[in-house]
Amino acid sequence: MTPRQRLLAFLLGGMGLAGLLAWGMAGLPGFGSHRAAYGQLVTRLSVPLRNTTDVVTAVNLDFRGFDTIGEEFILFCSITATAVLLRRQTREIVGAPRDQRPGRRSPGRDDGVLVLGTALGALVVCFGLYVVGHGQLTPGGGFQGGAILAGGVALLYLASGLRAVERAAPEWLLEIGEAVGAGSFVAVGLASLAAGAAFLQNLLPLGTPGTITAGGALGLINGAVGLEVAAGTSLVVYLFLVQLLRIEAAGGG
Amino acid sequence: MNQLITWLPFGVAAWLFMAGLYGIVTSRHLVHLIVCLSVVQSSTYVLLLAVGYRTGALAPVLVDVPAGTPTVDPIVQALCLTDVVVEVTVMAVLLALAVQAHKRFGTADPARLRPQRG
Amino acid sequence: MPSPVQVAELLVVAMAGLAVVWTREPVRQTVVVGFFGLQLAVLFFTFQAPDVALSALAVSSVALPLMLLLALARMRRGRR
Repeated sequence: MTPRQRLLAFLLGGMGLAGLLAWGMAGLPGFGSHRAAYGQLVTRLSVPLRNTTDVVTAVNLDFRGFDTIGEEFILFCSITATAVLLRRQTREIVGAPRDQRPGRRSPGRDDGVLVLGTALGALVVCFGLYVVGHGQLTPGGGFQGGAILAGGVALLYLASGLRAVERAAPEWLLEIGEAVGAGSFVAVGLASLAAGAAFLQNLLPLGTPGTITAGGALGLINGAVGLEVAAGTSLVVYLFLVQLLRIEAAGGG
Repeated sequence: MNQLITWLPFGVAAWLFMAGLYGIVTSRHLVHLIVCLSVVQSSTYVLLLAVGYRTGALAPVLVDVPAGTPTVDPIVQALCLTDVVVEVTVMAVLLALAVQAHKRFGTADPARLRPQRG
Repeated sequence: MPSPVQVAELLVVAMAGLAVVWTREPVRQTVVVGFFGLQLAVLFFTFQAPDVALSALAVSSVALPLMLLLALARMRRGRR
């Protein structure tokens, strides 16, 4: 199919799709006027039932925790698929990092970048841990904090190169962290099941709302999700780095 | 005019969807295609959050407001939240596929991914 | 009825989305998609969704452009 034919097919199909979208959206209740009963109920019950002031985290990890297990395992499977796709293949070798080979024509290591990047990387990791830990109180939680922590690893690479990343966050540590995070979520649910209640039912003492101990099992699940997302996203970035800098075809190239 | 502005959030969601789809159809580089796919995904976030919005309401965080103040719908926000982070790893799978395809075929053009032999 | 801030941000997001699609060269598109992610985060913020805005910010400004650039660098390296 030539590009022109493809574009023509898209224009025809696109007009139909646009018409359907317009018709569907015209039937929606006006912007800002929709009153979802379930959402209002959850907001009303979040503090009395779960002592959690961040309603979105309570929905994600407690009221709809089973759906989040599914989402987390989509993440887990995607990371596994990436690891499989970027592995060293049969006719490839894993060499020394290309960004630190002698004789490489590149701007030299800048001390300012190194110091500032490492210091900022430490700050980002602290901030990421804060966002993960305070998910029950203020906007935050495992998913957001995990993404921020992965940014810290990226910053470390940008400041110091691949060997520093391999020393600070080696691959085996990231893999173990990701597996422990994903498994802990399920383990918390199974522990509730073993204690005689429903899967993922909150059985721990609920703490006071507004402190870091609020929410009971929600805090544990939050930490597990944060570990998994942080380790998983860092692992993905690390895999791309290794594919770029270490893996090469046997015989050069 | 008022009607048009009230309909604008849904319109922007549909616009992003169509624009991303156009980018995917007419793409000539695999990585460009993957980024257009992420634009299509973000149209769903805009639509979900627009559906859950409530005029005059606050964010669903009750730390400093008394319980009982009207808030926007937290359910759709929970959906979008996990979706945004999972999207990145799905993009990672597609990028890994693109990298390996480029290694195998020597080109990142979707139209030329099967080399003509003979 | 969306507020003026929301209307302005929606228009910026629509234009940024079009810009992402129209930038054909992948390395330039990486920068544009970082900008698009930033505008998405602001839009989510104006929709009273700070959690979603946080994750959109962390993901579209840091993780996604980094992975794109690493993949593109690998492709460029293989072509030399």
